[in-house]
Parts: sequence; C-alpha cells; structure tokens
Amino acid sequence: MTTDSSIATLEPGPARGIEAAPDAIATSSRADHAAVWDQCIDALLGIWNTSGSIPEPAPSNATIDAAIRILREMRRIDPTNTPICIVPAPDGGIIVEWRNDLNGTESIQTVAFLNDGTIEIVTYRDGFAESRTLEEGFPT
Amino acid sequence: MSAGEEDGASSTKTPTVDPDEILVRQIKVGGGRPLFFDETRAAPPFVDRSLFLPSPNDVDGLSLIRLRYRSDVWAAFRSNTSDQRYRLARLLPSALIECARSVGIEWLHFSPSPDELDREHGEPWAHCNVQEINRKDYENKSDRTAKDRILAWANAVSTSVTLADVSSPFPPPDPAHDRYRPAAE
Repeated sequence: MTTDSSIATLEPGPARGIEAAPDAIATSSRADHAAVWDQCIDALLGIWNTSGSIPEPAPSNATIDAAIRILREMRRIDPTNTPICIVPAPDGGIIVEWRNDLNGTESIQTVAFLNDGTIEIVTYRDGFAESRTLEEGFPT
Repeated sequence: MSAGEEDGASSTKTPTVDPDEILVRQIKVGGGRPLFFDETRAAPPFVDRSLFLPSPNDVDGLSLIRLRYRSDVWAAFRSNTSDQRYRLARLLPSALIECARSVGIEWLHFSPSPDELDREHGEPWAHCNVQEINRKDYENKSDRTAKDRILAWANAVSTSVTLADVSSPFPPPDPAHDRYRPAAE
C-alpha cells in the first residue's frame, strides 16, 4: 500500500498504477467545496463597509449580510453545490450564480439579493429564463 | 425593413438604425466584475448578463449609442456623470434581433432618442433605445413573461459578446482634440 501524500490530496503527478481510494477522493472533494464556499463568503466580507471598485449603487451592508447568511445556510444544506460566480447587481445588490447539469442540459440559476430587500431567483435553461421574486424578502 | 423603422418616426431627421451598423452599450468600469468566479469550472463571461438588462433609466428601452454618429471616446462619456469611466460593448442590431427571436421576442425596434450630448450637438442623434427591452415591462409584476424574455435576451446577448467586442475604459474626451463625430464611416 502506498502512502504517497500526492495521491491522497489528488495532486497531479506521474502515473503510479494505483487509483486514489474513494475515501481520499471524497475527502479532497469536501475540502475543495469547503474552500469554494470560504472564497464566496470572503468575497462578500471583502466588500463589507466598502464598495471598493464596485460602481454605484454598491450593495448595502444589509444586502451583503443577507447574502452571507443565506449562503451559509445553503452550504449547510447542500455543501457540494457550490456557487460558480458572485457579481454586484447593476442596480445595487449581489447576484450569486450556480450552474448544474440536468440530463445533459446546463441549467443556470441566479439568486439576486437586491438593496430594496427583495430576493429574485432566475433559472436559465434551453435559452429561456424563468424568474420569481420572494415576497418575504430578506430573512431577519 | 430597417432595424429602426417604425410608424410615426417622423419627428426626427435622424436616419433609422441599420441592421449592420455598430451600436455600443456603456458599461461602468468595475460593473459586472465578479467578486468571485470559480474558473476551474468555466471561463468568466466578458460582460455579465445583468449589464444588458434595462436600468431604471431605460424606461423607454435599453440605451445604446450609434458609433456612426458619435466617436467612441464621446460614446463612453456622460456629461451628467463625468467622473464615471465606461467601457463599450460593441453590438450589431441584426445580432440583437437574432437573440430576441431566439427567446420569443418577434422584433426589436431601435428608436433614435436624444440624450444630453445629442441635445448639445444636434441631429443626427447618436443615442437610441431598444423599445422592447424596457424597464416598464421588466418590472411588470402582472405579466412575468415579458420580464423572463428580457432576462433570456440579456443572457443570449452576453454569451455572444467576445473579448474583441469590449473596449478598455476610455478617458474623458478632450473637446479640443477629440472629435465628437467619427471621422468617417
């Protein structure tokens, strides 16, 4: 049995004639997903109290707070379903995007946390879009 | 029929929009720049789809500027927000119409409509609106289908934009050196 640490961490290396054990893959995958979630949260914390280079209207602190809280909850519920993108909304807010493969078709879902306190969810699939607004807005 | 042809467009001497002339959408510097993007899964878009959605100012339609009648350095300038720098995304009306049809919008009407610089420099106006991509429909809560079509259109347009279509930010124009009208088509 090999103890090569590069296999356990799935780092690239020469072929060794041995496949990484499923447990090693799962551990690495969990670590990768955790790192992505951390990057997402850090990106939002990075604009707290400072819009940085985001053009006005920048996301409000209430918007950033709501986005962080919901992302943390989504991370808890579905830790492997990580966002692919976070962008500021042009009219003030945060847009978080997920992409998934559904029966060979890519589905894009965006969740927009807007400065007016509303949350808007849009699903893009097969060239079309379907949107809905959460009437209850940000959770308190 | 030209891309801008419409009934009752007799109040202006500005020619209608040609399907193959170049239009630009102003993009605020920093606008749509991802705070986070997982590049291990996909390449980031050159322009985020949200930047092709009608803003609260686009009540009558998405604002675009015709490079036929305004030089690029002036097209990237707004006198009411003179400190804001803009990049320009180059678009063809014919391609925008194609995107529209792919999402169930039958046609796009490009109506010349003066902005502040047009009022200062006169006709032909460089600013135009894409009537069907307007904020009123986008915000219409009683008919969600119009909004969903606009969302799908913006997504289709953003995926069609390449790096070559997007300019670097322009400096503010210098009236002494930068021509307002393009030198030649």
